[in-house]
Amino acid sequence: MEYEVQFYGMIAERIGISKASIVIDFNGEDINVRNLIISRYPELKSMTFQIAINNELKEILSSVNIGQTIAILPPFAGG
Amino acid sequence: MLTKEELQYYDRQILLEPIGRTGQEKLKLSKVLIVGAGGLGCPALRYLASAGIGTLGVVDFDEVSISNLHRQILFDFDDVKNNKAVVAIEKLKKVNPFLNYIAYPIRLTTENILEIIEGYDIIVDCTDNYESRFLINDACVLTDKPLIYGSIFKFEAQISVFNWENGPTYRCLFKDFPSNESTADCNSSGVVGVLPGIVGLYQSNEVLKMILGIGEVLSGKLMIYNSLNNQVTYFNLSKSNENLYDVLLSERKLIPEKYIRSCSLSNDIYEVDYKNINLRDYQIVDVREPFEMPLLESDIIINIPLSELTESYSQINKEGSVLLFCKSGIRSMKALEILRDQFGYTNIKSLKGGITEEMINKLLEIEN
Repeated sequence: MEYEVQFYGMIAERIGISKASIVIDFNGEDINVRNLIISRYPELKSMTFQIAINNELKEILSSVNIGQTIAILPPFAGG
Repeated sequence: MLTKEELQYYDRQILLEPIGRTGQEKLKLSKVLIVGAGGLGCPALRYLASAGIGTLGVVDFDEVSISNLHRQILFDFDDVKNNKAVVAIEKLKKVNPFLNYIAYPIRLTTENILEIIEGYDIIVDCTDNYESRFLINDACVLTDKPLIYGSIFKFEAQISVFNWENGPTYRCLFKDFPSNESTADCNSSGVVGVLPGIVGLYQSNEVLKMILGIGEVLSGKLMIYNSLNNQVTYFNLSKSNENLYDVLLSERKLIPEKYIRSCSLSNDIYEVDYKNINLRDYQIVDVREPFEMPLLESDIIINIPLSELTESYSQINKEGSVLLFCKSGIRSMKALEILRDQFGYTNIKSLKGGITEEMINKLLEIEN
C-alpha cells in the first residue's frame, strides 16, 4: 500500500524534503512506523519526533488503516 | 460595571452579538498571564490589551535588543537594553489605560512559578525554549490552569490549547526534552516577524473564546500552520503519558533538576568540523590575537581578534556563511555568542576543536 509521508520542521530540513511516498508491504503484520522511517532515513535516528498516522498520534500502522498519510512531527520551541 | 469611557472604547466589540456587554464584562473580570514578551508575546499582548482583558501579567527577564525589533512589535530603538516586561506594559498602558497590568521582570523558576500563575485564569506560553515550556506546562497541570501553546520554527508553527477542561497537555504531545540534535531557537534559526505575529494572534484568539465561551477551543488538537504555502493541518491529541505526572501530583512540587537539559542549548548547532563543510562557501575569520602562532596571513582569512570584535565586527558578513576559528574552539564560540546575541548574526559557525595543521593546509590549497 502506498503512503504519503509528510515531514515537518527540522526533520524536513535534515532530510531535505517535506514529502515522500513510500510503499509498505504488510505481509500480515503491523508495522512500527518509527523503525521504518529510521531505516529509510538513518539521519533521523538521534532526532526527536512524534508520528501521526491519518492525523492521529500513533506509531503502529496496521493494514486496516485506510487514509494513508503519515506525518513526522518534531518539537520546536521558537517564539 | 463598565464605565462610559470603556463602553465607548469597546463599542465595536460589544456590538458583536455573542459578546455584548456581558461578554465585555467577562473579559474585564479575567486575568491572563503572558510568559515571554517576544515575537509571540508582543502581538498577543497588544491584542489582548485592546480586547479588554481586565488583568494582564507579563513575565520576561530579558532586555530589548536591536535584533528583536523586527518582530517584537511593542518595542522601538529607545527601549533597547530595557526590560521587556516593563517596557511592554508602558506601551500597553497607552493602548488601553483601563486595565490592570503587572510586570514580572524575572525568570520563571520552580521556586516562583506556582505563586505567580496562581493569580491567573489562563496562561499563554510565548517563550522560546523547552526548559520554560515544560516548566510552564507542569506548573499549569499542578495548579489546573489552561495553557495556550504557540511555537515556531522558520516558516512553520504549532498551536494548541493544553489542560483545558481536563484535555491533553504538552507532555501528551512531547513527553520530554528533545535530543540536542533536534533543537534550535529563533536566535539561531532566523525568523520573519510575520509568523510569530500570526501565531501570537491565534493564541490571543483562543484566550478570548475561552473567556467568552464562544466558538471551539483548540483543545485536543495540534494545529500546524505553514506560512509559505498557507497549509493548516490538524492532528488529534488525546491524553497520554499520564503517569509522567504521578510524582508531580503526589508531591505537589516542581523539582528543579527536571527542567534543566543535560546539555542545555547544545553547541552542536553552532560548532562544525571543517571536514563536514565546504570551506569555499565560508568567509573565514581568525579570532586569535595577533601574536598567536602560526601566523596566518591569507586573502581568504580575515583577522579579527576576539578582543577587538565589538569594534571590528562589521567586517564580518551578515549574509552567506561565516566560520570563526581560534586555537581550541573556545574563543571562537565566545565570539559567535557575541555576534549572535549583541549584533544579531545568524549565519555564524565556530570551528570545533580549533585550527589544525590539516586545516591550514586545506586553506592554503583553496587559496592557490
